[in-house]
Amino acid sequence: MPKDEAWKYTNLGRTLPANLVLADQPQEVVIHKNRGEVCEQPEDILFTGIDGQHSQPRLKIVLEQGAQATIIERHEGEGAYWKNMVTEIELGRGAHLHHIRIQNDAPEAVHTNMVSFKVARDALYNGFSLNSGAKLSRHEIHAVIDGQNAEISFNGVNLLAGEQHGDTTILIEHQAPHSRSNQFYRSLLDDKARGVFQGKVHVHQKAQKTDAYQLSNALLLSPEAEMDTKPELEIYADDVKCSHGATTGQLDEQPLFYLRQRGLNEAQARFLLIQSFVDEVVDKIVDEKIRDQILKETEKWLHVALKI
Amino acid sequence: MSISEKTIATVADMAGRYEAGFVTDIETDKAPKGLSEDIVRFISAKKDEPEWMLEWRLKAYRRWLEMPEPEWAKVEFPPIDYQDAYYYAAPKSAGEGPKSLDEVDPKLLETYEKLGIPLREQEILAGVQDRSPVAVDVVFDSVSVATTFKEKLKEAGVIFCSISEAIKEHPELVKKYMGSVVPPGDNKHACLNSAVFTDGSFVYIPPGVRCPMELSTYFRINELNTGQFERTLIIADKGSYVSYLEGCTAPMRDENQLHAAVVELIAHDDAEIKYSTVQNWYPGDFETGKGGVYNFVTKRALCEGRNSKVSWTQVETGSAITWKYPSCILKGDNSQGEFYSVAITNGRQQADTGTKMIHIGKNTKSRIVSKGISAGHSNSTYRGLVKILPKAEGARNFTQCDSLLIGDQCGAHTVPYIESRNKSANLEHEATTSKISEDQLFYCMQRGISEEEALALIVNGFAREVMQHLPMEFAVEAQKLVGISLEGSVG
Repeated sequence: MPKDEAWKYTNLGRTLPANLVLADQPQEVVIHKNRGEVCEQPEDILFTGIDGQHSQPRLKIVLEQGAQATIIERHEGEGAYWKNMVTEIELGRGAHLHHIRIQNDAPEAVHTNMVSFKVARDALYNGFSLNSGAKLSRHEIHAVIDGQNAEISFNGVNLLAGEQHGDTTILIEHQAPHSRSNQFYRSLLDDKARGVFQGKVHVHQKAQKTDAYQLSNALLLSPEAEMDTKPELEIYADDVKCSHGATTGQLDEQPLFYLRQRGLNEAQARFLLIQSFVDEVVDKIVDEKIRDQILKETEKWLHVALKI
Repeated sequence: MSISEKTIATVADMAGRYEAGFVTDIETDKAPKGLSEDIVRFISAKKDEPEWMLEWRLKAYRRWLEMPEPEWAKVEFPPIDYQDAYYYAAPKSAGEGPKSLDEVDPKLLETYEKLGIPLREQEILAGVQDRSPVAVDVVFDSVSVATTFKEKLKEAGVIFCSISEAIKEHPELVKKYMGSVVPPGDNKHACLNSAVFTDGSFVYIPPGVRCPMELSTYFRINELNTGQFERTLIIADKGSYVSYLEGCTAPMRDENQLHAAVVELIAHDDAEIKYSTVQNWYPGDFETGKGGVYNFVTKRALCEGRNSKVSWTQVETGSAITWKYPSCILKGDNSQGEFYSVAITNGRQQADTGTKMIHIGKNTKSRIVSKGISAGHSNSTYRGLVKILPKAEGARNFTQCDSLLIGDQCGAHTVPYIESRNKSANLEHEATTSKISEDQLFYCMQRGISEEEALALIVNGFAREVMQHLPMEFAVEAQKLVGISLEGSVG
């Protein structure tokens, strides 16, 4: 993806807080699992932003052959700051990683995150990302699948209100045959929020039998919200199954009518429908405890946004 | 099912058979090679244009000098040497422009007969040729050589003539509308066209008139190293309807030829324009990709009035490079835009095509169906924009882009931009990419249909949704063209 094209909808320079000071201690977290190591207990990592600082945290996750892990990455902070993060993920043969990311940075913060991936044969990555914080956030993922039969999934929920700007940009390169990729994102946009979803699947010539799917649904809750979507396919192999879908709109009238007919008031009916819209993605999280936690988070956001 | 060596050989034999690839040996009147203000003045003088037109051209030319080449499309070609081409070439016999058909050079008539374009009105009317009447404006290199059925159309109040004629006869209409949809500074190719356009068609349908027959323009580039820059302007006044067809071919040449056209459509209240294109420019050499036409076209419609409707249908099989995005600006409330496209690339062809639907008015609707078929070493890209502006209450869009890959050396890409700024707007987009199903091929072949024919059959089925939007005569032609374009691809 050419640089200017990938940043088409997001203007970082205009949003960055002024007079930031470079954080003196670089924060670096490395998680390394040895061959065959299976971790039942999820690992929790917290990245905190400090007012007036420009921090460059790094997260490196390496899972050797056959290793399995669940990692929860949390983002919080106070005041105006710029968290410019780099994440590297390397999955060995047959490794399994469940990665949950909860981005709840401070309302005045800018959050940018560049994630790069290397996935070996038979490996599985299941990612979920909840984006509800920061004035401007950009989650950029560049994944290279160079092992056969690997599978990666990126699922996410973007909850944006006020003047928030949330950008999800994903590039998946299928470089080996028989690999699968999934992208499933849903966005709620209230007030003057602006959501961006750019997903690109690039299937190289040798990546025959690729199965790639991509879906972005957005609900605009206010007349001033905006959603920009650019789902892209670039395909050089012929024996593949690739498709994508994208929708933008408001709630359907019919289910709303159905619920009201059954005695719910309009606010309740809307709440229920919007909640189920979001929950469908959250359900992709395998770990029950984490899933419940996220469901609570989204419910809390909905109560505020829908004033119910 | 793998492809045998033999089939590949047979197919390679057949490939590159571009049926319209002959050259007509005719004397031409040419402008000196190259591009400069003098050439712009030369063209304007040749056309005997009024002063305002020349000024318009010169302004565009000066602007063009400063504009950058559009580079965002997924096509690759060496930089164009604009000084190495002729910007004006006209058959000598055309003289002062088209008169009556009897005066048209028989060599030209022969050319069009060979291409299957009916020019002899009497025969058509007398039923000698088994087709329904279609009025044709014929553009050969830089000039319009004939326009048929002009009298009959005049009775209905329809103006159908070459654009050069319209500049002289109907300056008020041309002045008002030309450049109103595609301004000269829109992009570099459109700007070049505004400076050096030589001919094209002009259509005006008066209020409440349903155009009594299909109108069409047939473009042919004949001369070596010549660019064709035509300009089409169609205005459908209140409550009128017109269906317009466009066809193109060029001889086989080793050099690349530039075709930079501009098409502007304006639909007023309750008017409807249906615009169909079958584009079959010379695609270049099958093996090496040498030669072929660069088809850099700017087509845009303005749905100005309430309830107006514009529908673009295109079958793109030719050209070395296609760069084309027929668009609709849906300004009037309840206006509708449609885009149906089949783009087939084979050999070394590159196509970057799609549409833009800009929703401005309330309850505006758009529908996009795009089918891309890539074979050989070609690349085909769908690039589209659906933009909903804040005032477009209740806007609706449906987009479907399907790509079919034949062989493992080609590429198919989908690049849609979807921008919504109104919550009541409803947008849907879906796209798929797959290959020809082996089961379908096997089924056909099992029943005695050859591999080539089976392929054409399946591809035609894949493209049916678009083909059925073409007027009858064109649909048959387009179906045949699909078969021919796919020769040498084999699934």
